[in-house]
Amino acid sequence: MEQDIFERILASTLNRRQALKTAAGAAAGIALAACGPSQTSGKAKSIKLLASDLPPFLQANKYWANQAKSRLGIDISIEPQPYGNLFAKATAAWIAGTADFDLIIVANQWTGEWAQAGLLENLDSYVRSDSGIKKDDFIQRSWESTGSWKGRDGQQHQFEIPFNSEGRIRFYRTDLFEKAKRTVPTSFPEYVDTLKFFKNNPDFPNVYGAVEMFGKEQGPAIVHELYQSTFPFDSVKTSNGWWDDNFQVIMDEGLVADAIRKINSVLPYQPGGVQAYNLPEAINFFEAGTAAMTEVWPSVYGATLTSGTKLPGKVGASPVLSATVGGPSKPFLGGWGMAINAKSPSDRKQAAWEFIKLSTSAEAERHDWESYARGPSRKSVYNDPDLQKKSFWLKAMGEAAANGVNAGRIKGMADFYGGDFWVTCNQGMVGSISPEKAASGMKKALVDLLTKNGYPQK
Amino acid sequence: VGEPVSVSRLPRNLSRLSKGAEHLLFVGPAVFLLLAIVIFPLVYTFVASLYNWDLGQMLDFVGFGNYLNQFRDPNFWLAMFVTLQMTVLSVGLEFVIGLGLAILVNRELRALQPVIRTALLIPLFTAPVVVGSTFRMLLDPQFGVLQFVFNIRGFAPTATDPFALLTVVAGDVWQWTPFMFIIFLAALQGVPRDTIEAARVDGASGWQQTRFVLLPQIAYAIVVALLLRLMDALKIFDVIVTLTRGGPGRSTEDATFAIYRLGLENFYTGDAAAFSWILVVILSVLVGILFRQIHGRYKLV
Repeated sequence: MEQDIFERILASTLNRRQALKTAAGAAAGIALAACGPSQTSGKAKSIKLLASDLPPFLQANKYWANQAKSRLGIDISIEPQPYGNLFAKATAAWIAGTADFDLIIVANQWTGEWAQAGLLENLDSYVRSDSGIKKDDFIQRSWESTGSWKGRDGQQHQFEIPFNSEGRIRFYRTDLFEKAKRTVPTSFPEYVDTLKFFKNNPDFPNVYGAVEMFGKEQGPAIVHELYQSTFPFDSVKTSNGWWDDNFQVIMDEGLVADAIRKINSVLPYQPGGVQAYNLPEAINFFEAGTAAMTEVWPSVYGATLTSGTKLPGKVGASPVLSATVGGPSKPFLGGWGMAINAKSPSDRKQAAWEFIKLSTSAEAERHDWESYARGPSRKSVYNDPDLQKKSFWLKAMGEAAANGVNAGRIKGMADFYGGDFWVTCNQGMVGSISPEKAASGMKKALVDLLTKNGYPQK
Repeated sequence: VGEPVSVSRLPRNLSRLSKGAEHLLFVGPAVFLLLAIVIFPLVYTFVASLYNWDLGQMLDFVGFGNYLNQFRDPNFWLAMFVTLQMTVLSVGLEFVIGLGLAILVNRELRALQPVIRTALLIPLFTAPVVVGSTFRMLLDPQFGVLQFVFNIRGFAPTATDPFALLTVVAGDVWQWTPFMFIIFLAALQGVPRDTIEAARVDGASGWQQTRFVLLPQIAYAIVVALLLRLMDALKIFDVIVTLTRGGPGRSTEDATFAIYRLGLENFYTGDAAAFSWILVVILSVLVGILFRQIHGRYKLV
């Protein structure tokens, strides 16, 4: 019912525009037929990509756009958007009927929102009829969790082709740990010891034990990891610890409060202002040589490592912290795919598909890893021993991708990340409210989120 | 100076219009604009607030459910409290500093008035987005200018409670104090000097002259300036977006920013519309009360 209404809203806008376009197209066609040879072709010559401005992603898009021009004869114009704007920009354009892009870069948490509203093209028939995509080479989890979603018919369909699948990892300074004769912490208690060791240590002037992302955009991911590390996955059927397989909230308030308390307790050992740090700030601080560790998305710091780090030969990679000594490390997983705008004309969709095939191929993933350190999503690239030798963090990334826990997959995942659940967690992390109050607020926000998005709670 | 236009020189067709048509011709465009850019959005937002909208989908009619949701949500009250704190602090500081400066310049620095007036006008010509960005650059914990000037490592007021809220207030005060100053200075210059002289001859101290002679005579200007700033300060947005994005946590998330997050980041149109209408009602009541007070006391409007 709700989908029908939305479709009508979109259709009413699109039909008027399409009617005008069709009329204009028909007039142009008649004129061309009268004046010269027929210009029919099943594939458009120029299409538009709404992209992310994350450097490794954008650089790769630009490179493959050039390749598409020479290999396929397709012009790709790219409109980059910051991560924080991309979802709102695309959604607003779809709602307003002004979505003029044919291709879009999709973070895995946005898939449900857009696929369920019928905005992303169902790629099943493309994949079935085109062996060039080499589906079996993708990490199965990446293929399923990044690209597929239940369509309006209730069946699972492919809406994106993944090009990036990774979990967060911890980068550390090998030289500092060697000098300190300490091992890199793998659990939270060891981490606290390390922070205390470096704090005001005269042998390591101006060096903090770690710089973490406490900012609103990225911060709560570390709470997610500490929580997942203690969640009893054996006791309930769930893949994420927040809700069960029937979409009923199962979040353990006590464990979440404990995770928040843990991360809040290390604030005094972090650099000033860390409460507002997201990716650029944490990476800048680490690159400046003033922190012994940082936990970030490997594609983003990997780009710095590849293009010219200030710390050559001094950086190592390790798994994210487990909450307890000997406990499991549960990295936060993320992933990106490329999708086709379902509202694009069919000739442009065909050209878009050609570009997707080219820019997500094994050749492209290998090239993008070697040139820009963009995290892959294909087994053949992740497991390549040569690449693992060249890039020390690829192995750690592979382990993170295997052991990580996705935040979950529901229609309202965009709200999960930017809405009350996430922000309330951040309030607890930075000490604006108590861990208990934050955990209870998060649970309420989670119940509201699921209910609002069509998953009623019993 | 041109010659006044007489009705007889108006184009022949225009002068033939009936009185009613003439009124419509002059008032029509303004009424149309008012309908298009004020009334229609208000009505549309009200309709939206009665529905459960999600990602552009009008799902179902919920009556005043979205309004009740807001009142039940602790984050709504937090946003209102942040708004109140910001408004009281910003307008209060702007008033005190603006009035103090105006009295000082009017009484002691008359010769420097043109220079001071011009210098103080600069912030008024700056876009709030630029103010927020500039403050962010000044206060950045890694690269901020103040880090170098004061050599304080890790000085990060934008990231810590309660300083984040104070930095937003500081940005607003920096930009809008000159507005208060200009209004107060103009009003002070209109106060007859002989009233001050008379008070001085009667033995009034400087404070008594200000409190009992000067201020009552510029009370109307004070009230107008406070009213205008109050209406504006209740919806600070640009500085928050560029300086703190509502953080850390929700420390600087005022009502306007909360509406933006609800409606344009999470696309809960119904909730955002209800929140907007609550804010409109609160503002209207507040401004109505103030206008009534002003009208009763100063016969201004």
